[in-house]
Parts: sequence; structure tokens; C-alpha cells
Amino acid sequence: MSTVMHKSLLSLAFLFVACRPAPVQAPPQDLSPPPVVTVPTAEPAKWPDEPYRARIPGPRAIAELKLPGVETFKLANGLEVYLVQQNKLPTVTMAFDFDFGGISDPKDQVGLHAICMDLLDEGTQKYDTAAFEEKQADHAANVSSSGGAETSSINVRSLKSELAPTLDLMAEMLLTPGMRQADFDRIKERRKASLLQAKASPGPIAGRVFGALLWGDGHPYGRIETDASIDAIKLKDCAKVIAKIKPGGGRLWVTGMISKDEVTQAIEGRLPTWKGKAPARPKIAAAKPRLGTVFFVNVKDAAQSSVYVGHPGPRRQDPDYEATDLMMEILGGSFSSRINMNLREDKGYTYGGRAGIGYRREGGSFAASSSVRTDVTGPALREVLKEIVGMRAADPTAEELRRVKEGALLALPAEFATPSDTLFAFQRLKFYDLPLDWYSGHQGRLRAVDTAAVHRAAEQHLRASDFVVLVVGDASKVLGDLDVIAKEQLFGKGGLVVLDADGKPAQRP
Amino acid sequence: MARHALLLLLPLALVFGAAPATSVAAAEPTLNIEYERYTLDNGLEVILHRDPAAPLVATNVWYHVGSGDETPGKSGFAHLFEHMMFQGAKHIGKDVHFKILQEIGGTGVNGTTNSDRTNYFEVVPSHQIEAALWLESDRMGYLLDLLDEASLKNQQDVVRNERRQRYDNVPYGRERFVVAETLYPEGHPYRFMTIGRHEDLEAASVEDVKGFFRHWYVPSNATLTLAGDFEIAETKLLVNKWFGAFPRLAKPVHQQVATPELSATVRKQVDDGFARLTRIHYAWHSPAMFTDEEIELDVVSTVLGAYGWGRLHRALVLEERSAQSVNVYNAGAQHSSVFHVVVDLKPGQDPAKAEAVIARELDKIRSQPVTDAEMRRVLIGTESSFIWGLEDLMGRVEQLQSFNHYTGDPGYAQIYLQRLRALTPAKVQATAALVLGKPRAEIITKPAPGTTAGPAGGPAAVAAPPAGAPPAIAAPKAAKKG
Repeated sequence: MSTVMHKSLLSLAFLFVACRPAPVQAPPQDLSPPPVVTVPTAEPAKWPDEPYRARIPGPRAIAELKLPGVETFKLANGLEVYLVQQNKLPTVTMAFDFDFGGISDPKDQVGLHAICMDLLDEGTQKYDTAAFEEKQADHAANVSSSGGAETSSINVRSLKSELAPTLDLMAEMLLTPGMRQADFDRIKERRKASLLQAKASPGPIAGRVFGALLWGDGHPYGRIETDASIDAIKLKDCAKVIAKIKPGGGRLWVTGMISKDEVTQAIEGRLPTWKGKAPARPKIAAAKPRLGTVFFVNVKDAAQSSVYVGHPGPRRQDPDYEATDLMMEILGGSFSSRINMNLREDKGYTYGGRAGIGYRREGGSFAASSSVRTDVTGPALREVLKEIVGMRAADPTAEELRRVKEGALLALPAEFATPSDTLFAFQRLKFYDLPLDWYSGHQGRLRAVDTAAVHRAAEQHLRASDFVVLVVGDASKVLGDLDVIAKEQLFGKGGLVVLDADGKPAQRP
Repeated sequence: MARHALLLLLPLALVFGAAPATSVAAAEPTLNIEYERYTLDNGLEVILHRDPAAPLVATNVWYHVGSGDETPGKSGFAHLFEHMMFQGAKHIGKDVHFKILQEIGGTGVNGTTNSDRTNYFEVVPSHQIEAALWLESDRMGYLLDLLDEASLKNQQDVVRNERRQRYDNVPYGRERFVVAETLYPEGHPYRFMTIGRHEDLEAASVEDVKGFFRHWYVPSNATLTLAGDFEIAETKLLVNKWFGAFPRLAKPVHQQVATPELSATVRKQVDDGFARLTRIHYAWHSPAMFTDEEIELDVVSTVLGAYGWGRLHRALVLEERSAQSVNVYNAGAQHSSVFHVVVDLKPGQDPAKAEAVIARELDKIRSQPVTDAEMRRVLIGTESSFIWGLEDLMGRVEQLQSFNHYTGDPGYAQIYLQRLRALTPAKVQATAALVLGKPRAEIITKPAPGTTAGPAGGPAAVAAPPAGAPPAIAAPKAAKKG
């Protein structure tokens, strides 16, 4: 019963402290609950209502924004190190980033890099999975590896006092990984079970299929993992993936109570034989989206429909990034955005609606999405389109621009609230090949954005017609609406296409 | 283990705050968050924690009311009310709360409701501390001035959409309600979960909102915590300016609800159209959050469920390879808590075999003490969690609020750790035997018939087990009628 209800998915969530509190007093002894209590108190109380409450109080003197820095250096083996040191908490985190991942999966082995990086942290030649986890738990350490789409990583989290044994475990994993057949089989079974579950309800189906429709069949950013692609992956393939983990071209992100010299010693001392260079990054082709089509996946008795409207979008490195960002903020980037205020606060169709650009390293895509009541699936799609069209049609109001622009400028300190936040901000910059001093020009570029620039960004980066639309919901309740929308060619001339949960063509239910 | 023992003996003085530590015990790790707590004449409790590391202020108000204070027919109301707190107040204006905060650089704006309390929070740049106080004081004092039928109707829709999105349209959503309905008798405030029933949400009226606000949202039933970059003395003046003249109103009294008892183990099957993996979910009533046994159950849940080395996780996920996941946790709450064992099976695995393994491990933890190595792992893991939890400013605020709410001592972290260090394996065993020896709810979720192939979907239906089919394992022997 301690489930927490978040008011809005759009807002940042925070984590509760890991440990719950414990007792100070005896449990209640009363066994017969008195009648309860939702009754108003007798007299309305006297509230002061001082005149100064009428307006928001003026701000005090604003602190000068001090952009934090990051210390950078290179180890002898070529590994680039980025360090944000702090001296308050006796903790250390290290994240090794390597520029390879799922985008290099062969077409018939989608999931290869993710599965092999999953396997890496399942123990060492000396310790099996359970023993390796025990060793970590003995030191409250966390040593893990994972494979993303464009980067793969090894992550280490440790108390300062336990750093030496923690790094010993990391080095042992990297130099003599276990790579056991039984663990490999278990990981494949787990992924197939997850896949089976992901194909059973609207949200996960939409999330899985929409990328493939946006980027095009077989595009590195749009591949779909299937049972067959998992079955095609063999343990010996993983040896080749693990062999790509090389210091040259890799990046190590460190934050904590640790100095440059300590980092250097810790890594070079434990990994003297770790040398070499990672393979070059693959070239990414342009997207080949199926524009103009309304796609549909049936989920019987779905209580809501997942709706997505999108198309390929700008790159993170584009010069008008700030104008695009503010435009997206107005359209669907926050609670107060047009899409959320319309779909949620005005119409009551949904718990939240949003829009934004999903930036990959070599390109981006625009998507507006929501989970809406089944009986308003058609009307919700029409309202989303109305907001996109409206964004392109005219300048935003001065009030809208002021809100998002001031908001973006004034929220900058929150991006650097902790050393971990700071490190993460720089990590993202490097991911997109942006300079580490990017933030120093960012404020000026934000200030320069006017309503005309926002309008231009909308015209340039939002399509006027021909969208990729995906709806996952109950066919018996929503297909009628979708037929009408397809016939009106509201989103393009591609008609209505029914897919299965793997994104393959299917019979109309 | 030598290194590890060393850590526990060394002083580990972590004092978060501007002032230097003055009285840190040298013998054991301490996890101080420097704070000052005081109470205004009207009963509003205030906690201040200064940390000028970043030019930010975290504001967080806990109202000491949650879904555990609801009455039959009003399920979900505490959370629905939380939504209304963002709809506007006399001076803020209508539905602009988020807009105002966005324009001044506010981040992390939200509210949450659980069984015991409702919280509202935001982080603002420190020069806007007063704007945050203005917003929080306005909705504490003047919410009803702007309340109307239309905004309530809108938020009833929004909250019902929230329930659809988070419970009705996802796998295992139905079983969460079935677990609660099985554990709690008719009339118990935890019976329908915090999100509530559609029909109760639908029936809420403006009069309900007014009554709830006047009864529960009084200054004497709230705790305001401010943390971050400010001067204490100046901030006290600001708090007084915005909250000081509010009236002193009676502090509402919470209903007392004893821990329910199941007279016998109850087993139910849920057929879930969205689920593809069979879920075995056992749940036992356990003592309330502020009782002695809870800390032992934290140890038991970790020893059983920890990833990799936890006994059940290791047996079912690593050795048998029959389970997709194992989760064991004690969900602490104010009236009483629930100890959960949740196992998702891979497709094609036999639930009876998995339940036999669960029975074996439960029997073992009830009948034998946990090992010293396991105790040490729990201890260093818990200390580590506390330390990691200190980095984030709002995380520290939530820790102060939470300990203050449940124990009356915002700095309770140290006492918790002292108690954990003092625990013996024998004590852990005794509690495991007591709590996990009682009757329990056994809820088995299966993919609805016909869903494993073909198009996805189908609603969830609850059925008693097939006639004549006995539970896979008998109710534990220690079961006693309460």
C-alpha cells in the first residue's frame, strides 16, 4: 500500500532513500476503529489574506551562474578520462563508455551486442554468477556491464573505502570474464520471456514497433529483436563482441571522492595488459520512414489506446537546437505544454500527453504520444494533429516563449545540482560529439531565440502532412474512427495498415 | 571480510550541511543531515536544512493524511484530492501552478499520495525561495476559493485515466487489487489501494473536497521542509511571513486500525489477458512501520530476494532457471505492513515445482538463523544505501520528512543503523518464524486462456481455484486464528 502515485509522467521523479524508517513507538493497541472522520470542522477558520499575497513575490538577487568544469586527461593506453571530483560523500562511480552497440548487430542477430554485454557481468573464470554477486555484496559494490544502441558500458559504483576490492572485481571481469554457456542460455531465455510479455499490452507494443516504422525496416535505429534473431546468436559470437572493449577511443567518466592520480593508478595498476583500439563507428544511413500511413495493432479489451504521431526530425548538433528545443517545450515538452493542457487538462482524455525530439547520435525523430481512453482515440489523434499544425501556423505567444525561455535559463543550475548531474551533462555532450564548453554559448543562444525563430523551427522540423501514425488498442472500439481518419487522409495517403505485435503485416481483425 | 569489518569500526562522519560537525560519535558511522526543526504557533512543523552547494532550494510539504484515512465508498479520494491541489488557489489563479514554476526555473514539480501521507514538492533557484513559499501557502490557506465543479470533473477523468494507464491497461494490474482485497476485510482503508475504485472516484463531489480539505489540510497536520542555499534566520522570517498568521486549527486524529489477521491461507487465481508469464504472489500481514519486527523483515527480504546472492533469487533464477524474476520486500505502512514474495515464471515452467522451492526456502529461514555473512551483507548494503541517498538534495529532504513522519525524529537514520547493527541472527529467525508462519494470501496470475498465441489482450478475471484442487502447499503450521 505504500505505492506512490505520481501526478504526472512529465515531471521528474525522484528516488526515495533506499531504507525505510523503523519504529519508535508501540503498535496501535486499539482494536475497534472509531467511525471516521471525513467531516468538515464546524466553523470556517479565519485566514489572514494579507495584501502581499495578491501577487507572486519578487525574486531576490540572482546568483551568478557558475558552470562547473570537468577535468580531462588521457591514460597511457589511450582511454580518455573525465573527472568531477567531490569531497563530501565517500563514494566513487566509474562509467566506461565504448562506441559500439546494437546498431552494429547483424540484421539476423538483432540483440547480439545487448545480450553479450549482459553476459559479461555474469561472473569471471574464478567466480560464477552467484559468487560474483556475493563478492560485490560483501563490499556493497556494484560492477555491471550493458549494451545500448550506440554505446556499451561498464559501470562501477562503490564506497570510497571499498574501492580497491571493487575495482579488483571489475578488472577480473574485464580480463577473465566467465562467459559460461549456461549463463548465456539463461540470458537468452530471459530476453525471450521479456519479449513475449512486451508483445501483450499496448504501451510496450507501441514502444517496440514505432521506431521501426519511423526509421524504416532494417535501419540500424529501427531494428526489432525477435525470438528468431535471439536464437541465431551463439556464445562464440559474444567472444567477438567482448573483444571490442578496448581503451583506445573509449571514455571513462568518474565522479566521487577521488583524484586524477588515484584514478590513473587504479586503472593502469589493475589493467596493465589492456590495450588496443575499439572499431570505428558505423555510418548511419538516412531514415526511410513509411510516411502517410496509419498503422494499427490490435490488443483485445485494451482500456486505453497508445497513440503515436511522428516523423524523422532534426539532429542534436543542428545550429538551431535552442529554437527547436523551446518550440518542442511549448508543443509538448512539459506539463504546461499545448498538447498536455489540451488532452489532459481541457479534454480529460488522458493522464498525460507529450511531444519531443528523440535525438540519436546521428539523427533525430519527432514523436507526439499519449495513452488515451479507448472511446476518444479518434478525437485524441485529431487534437494532436491540430496542435502540430497550430505550432507550424503561427508564432507562439510572447507569454509562451517567455515561460519556456526563462524556464530553460533559470533551470540550468538544476542540471548541475550534484557532481553526478554535472558529469552526466558532459557525458551527453560527448555522446553527440559536442564540445565540452557547449554550455557557455548555450545561454547566449537561448536568449537570442525570439518568437519568429520558434516559428521557423516549427516550419522546418515539423511536417505539414504525411506522418507516421501508430495506434495500439482494441480493434472493436477504435477501427471505425481510424477508417474515417484514413479516408480523410488526415495524416497522409497511405491508408490504414494493420500490423501484428512484431510490426509485420497482419489480417484486419 | 577483514576490510569490511574495518569499515564498520571506523568513524564515518558524514555531515551534510553548512555547519561543521560538533558532536559526531567516533565509534560508529553516522549519517547526519544537519537540520533545525521547530513549530509555528498554529502547529505547522518546519524543518530547515542548509546546504549552499548549488543555488537551489528544495521545498517539500507533507500533509499527514493518505489513503489509509479514507472511509468506505471514498476510496481513491486522498489521491484525487492531491490532484486538486494543483488546480489553483485564490491568489495563484486557475490551473497555472506548473506554468508559474516553469517560468521561474522550477524543476522536479510533483505531488504523490500513499497510504499514510501526501507530499507536494518543487526545486526552485534559490533567489525564488519566496515564490515557492507563496505557492505552498496559497494552496494551504486559500484552495477552496477557486474550487469548482468543472475542475473536479476534469481531474476525476484524469485520475481515472491514470488508473487505466497504470493498472487497467498493463499486465498484473488486476492482481494488485486482488492481493489487497484478499488481505484486507471489508471496511479496511487499505482494501482498495491508493488509486481507488472507478465508481468511488466518479462519485466524489465538491462537498467531499471541501470537507477533506478543512479536516486534514490544516497547518497543524503539515510539515514544511526547506533545504538548500539559504540563511536559516532569514528563512525563518520568510516562513513566518507566509504561514505565521494562519489560524491554529484542531489537529485531526487518525483512525486506529489493528493489523488484520487471516484465519487461513487464501488462494486465488487471476486470469490476466495482458500477462504472459505466470506470477506467484504470496503476501503476509506484517507489523506496522513503527514496530520492532520491521527491521528484521528488512533483513529477511534481502536475504531471500537480493539479486544473485539472495536465496530465492539464486535458487529459482540462477540454479533452476525457472523464474524470470524474484522480488521479496516488506512494504511498510502506518496501520500495518505486508511482506511480499513475488515470482514470475518463464513460459512453460511448472508453478508447483517453483512453489516447492519457495516452501523449502521459507521453511529454512523460519527454522534456521541467517548466516553471519548474510547479516554483514545486509548491514554494509544498508549503510551504503543511506550514503548514496545523501547526494540528491530532495532525497535528503524526503529522508528527513519520512523519518519525521513515522518516528518523530528526522535524524532517525543513525538509530535505524544502530538497531540494525544490534540485530542477531536468532532475532531475525524468530521474526521470520512469527510473521511468515501465519496464513497468507496466495494469488496466482495466469495468462488468460487463448492469449499465448494470436492477438494480444483480454480483461482480467478472478476465479477461485478449480473445485477440489488443494493449494499447492498447505498453510504453514504455525497458523493461528487471530
